[in-house]
Amino acid sequence: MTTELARQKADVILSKAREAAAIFSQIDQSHTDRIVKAVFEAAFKNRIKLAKMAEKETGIGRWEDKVVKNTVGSLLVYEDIKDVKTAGVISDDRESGIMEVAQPLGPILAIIPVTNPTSTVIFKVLISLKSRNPIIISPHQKAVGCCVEAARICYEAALSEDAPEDCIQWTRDEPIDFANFDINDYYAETQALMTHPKLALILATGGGGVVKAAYTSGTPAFGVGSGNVPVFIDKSADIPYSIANILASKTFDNGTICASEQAIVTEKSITDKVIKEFKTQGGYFLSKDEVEKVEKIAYDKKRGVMSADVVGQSVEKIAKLAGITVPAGTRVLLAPLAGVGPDYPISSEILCPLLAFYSAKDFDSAMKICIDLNFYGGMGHSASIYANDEAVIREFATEMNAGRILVNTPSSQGAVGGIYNKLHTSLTLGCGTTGKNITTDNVTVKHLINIQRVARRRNNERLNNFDKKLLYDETLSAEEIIARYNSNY
Amino acid sequence: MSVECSRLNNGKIVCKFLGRMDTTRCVEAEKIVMDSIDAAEVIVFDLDGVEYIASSFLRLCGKASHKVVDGNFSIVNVTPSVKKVFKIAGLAERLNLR
Repeated sequence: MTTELARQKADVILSKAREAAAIFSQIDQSHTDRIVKAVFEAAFKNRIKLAKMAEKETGIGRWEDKVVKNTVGSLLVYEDIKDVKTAGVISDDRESGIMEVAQPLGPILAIIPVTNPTSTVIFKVLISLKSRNPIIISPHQKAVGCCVEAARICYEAALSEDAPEDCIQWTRDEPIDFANFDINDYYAETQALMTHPKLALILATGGGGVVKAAYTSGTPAFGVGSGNVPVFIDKSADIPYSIANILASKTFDNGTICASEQAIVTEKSITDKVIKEFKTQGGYFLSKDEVEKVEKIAYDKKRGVMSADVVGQSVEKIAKLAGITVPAGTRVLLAPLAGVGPDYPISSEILCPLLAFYSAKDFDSAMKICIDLNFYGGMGHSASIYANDEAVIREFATEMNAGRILVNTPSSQGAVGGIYNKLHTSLTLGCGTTGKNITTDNVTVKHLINIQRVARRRNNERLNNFDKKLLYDETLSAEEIIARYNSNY
Repeated sequence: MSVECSRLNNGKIVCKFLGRMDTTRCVEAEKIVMDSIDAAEVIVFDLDGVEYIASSFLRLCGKASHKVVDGNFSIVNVTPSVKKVFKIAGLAERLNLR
């Protein structure tokens, strides 16, 4: 596809989306809520079918866990957003005189990752429709079929409640025939959509390349960052409980969630207990030789990122790829490492059941390792701590640069909210400016509305009662003027 | 009845739409309008009192506008919220919204 063809295709899609946006502008809150409810119900009803399609098409993760992800993307997201006001007057504070009116943004382009395809489609559709914005689904090239099916199910449900036509569109109808596929066509198509003047916003969930393309497109964007989640197990932690939670999280969908644990950091005084508990619960500690073998297949040194071959794969498959033998029933591989950085490839983000492991001599050393991990590709994303000492939790939270700091919680399921905490349920996790994002929030409906503030007159009494001639009196000090300004207040 | 179309002596057809033009009512309206505007020279859609239009109404406007030469189709008496719909859709000028 030439750039011109890509532009023409984008024109057609965005013209339809703009008309949908126009119709949406008249839809009131109750009509909006009926549409969203219908979409949630249809998506939830199809959670298993879509999960199986996603696993089959992408070859990543486990369909059983993708059912849970689809449940998060539908049921939990719906519960989180259903009562949020998103149309017309959404608040009116008589005391401050500020009334807020919500306006939709316009057409939204949703970039969908291969790791969480159908759940992300459902999530982005729900938050877009709830905020009265049409959405265009742009699936990862290896997840077109399942994403289109998810989008189609949502669209039909939306139309059943008289939603605007074309309120949900998708960029391709059929799974890609890779024998005749040119990745440059895909890039040209995405670029034409991202830079289209009728597009209002990009919701970019995916790798660094696509997120950067979104941010440099000239269209406002919410992106995500890479994660490299350190997990600190403090000596105050309940160790068996901590390991059980870590394993449940890291094995979930074979570790595909970007908020999943990447490295365990603990203090020497409890290292033996932690290792023993990991072994009891299905962790396998790699020997030095085995670490080298796993590094070679888990990390793409040329590109400086994890290898796509291991993303979302089982322990058995990873062991086979690496040419090592692990005991039956192994749930997670643990690689004891002496440092963080390019010389230790497993210290970077690798989305599979593989964890780096560090034993620090004391608390301060452990914190320093966590900081190194945080700065090595995980800035702004998530961090995890197991502790029962509030002072330790606070210190860890202060040292980490992470949008989400999860306490005594599986990080992959904890970060998305709604399961283990009251964070907004989201499959787009903002990583703040250090992660090259505009927010550290879990992106949700509030990010997809323009809020107009109606400001009624409320006089500043101090300024009204203040003799403004004093502002021009150079014989008075600033402190004297401020004192007069605050007089009798 | 979602619409009433009347033919004036000068080949002008005025279609006056009534109430909420949602998808269901647009289906009914489209049949009436398309049956009425054959051989029209000028078509006017009067939206006085129409508070809501669905996507299919925009499509109906497009179809009807193609029945006459450029400039001979117009839409009148829109409410502010319906005017905003045509403006957001980028159709106000092309459909001669007055």
